Amino acid sequence: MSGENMAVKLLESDGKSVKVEFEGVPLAVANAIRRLIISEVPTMAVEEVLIIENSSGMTNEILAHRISLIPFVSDIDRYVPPEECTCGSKLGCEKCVVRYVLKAEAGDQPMTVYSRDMTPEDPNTTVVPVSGNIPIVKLAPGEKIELELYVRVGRGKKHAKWQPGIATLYESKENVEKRILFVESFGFLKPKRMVLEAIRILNKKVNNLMRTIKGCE
Amino acid sequence: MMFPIRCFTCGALIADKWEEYKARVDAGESPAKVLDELGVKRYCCRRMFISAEDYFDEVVEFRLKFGKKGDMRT
Repeated sequence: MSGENMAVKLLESDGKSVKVEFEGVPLAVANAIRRLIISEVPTMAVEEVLIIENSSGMTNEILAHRISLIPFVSDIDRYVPPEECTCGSKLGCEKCVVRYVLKAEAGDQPMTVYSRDMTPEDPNTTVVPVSGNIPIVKLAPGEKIELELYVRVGRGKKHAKWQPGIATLYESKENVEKRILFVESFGFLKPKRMVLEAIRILNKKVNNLMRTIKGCE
Repeated sequence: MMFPIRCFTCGALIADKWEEYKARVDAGESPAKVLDELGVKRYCCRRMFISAEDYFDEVVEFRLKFGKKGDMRT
């Protein structure tokens, strides 16, 4: 594949989404980038919830599931997926886990627990919920929750909670030779970073394949 | 149950916009206008809002009236 006739242009860009125009890029390559954004770009979300106390009206599994769907601003340069970490520990180390505590108790009035009520073990961490206004559970007076949350790096192919955003590929209206890749981020990573990360992963996969084929000769 | 955190179809985060949406629609604004202003663009996410019924409030109300303090599981 020669890169001489390829042109990639950034059409639109804001904090949430980007539009990239591909010219002369094979459909298979452009589609591979789209698919990699959805399923392989790593992001961070709660993977494990330790329930110390839950006297709310919501069952443990629904509460844990709601918490797991909260997107976290992901630092994928610093953190690695647990299966790729060198620590080999089930609980994880400072390279593969960010710990949070969620503690709330309703007084005389019913209260709502929000994502901003989660407190990180390390107050300086950059891995924080994308929004603080996500309602997690409502508590009636006297009810209490106390949870320990383990935020880990994962990929969309393992669970949709790690899907970093939306990627769609379509033909340009003016010129069918051109294709447009629209990428929207859910807040885990910057949209530009998602595209670059997908290209890096694709490059790695192709190199691995080449090495394997050469090894067979 | 409570309003879902993510859109069932596309997976976008929607729960952070729920309370503003609910307050404004209850105050009489048109749901379409509120959703446009909140930046909820796709129809998969929009139907999450317009078809939502937060009946967890009723659960809380029930437990407020009938639940015992401390362990309220029956």
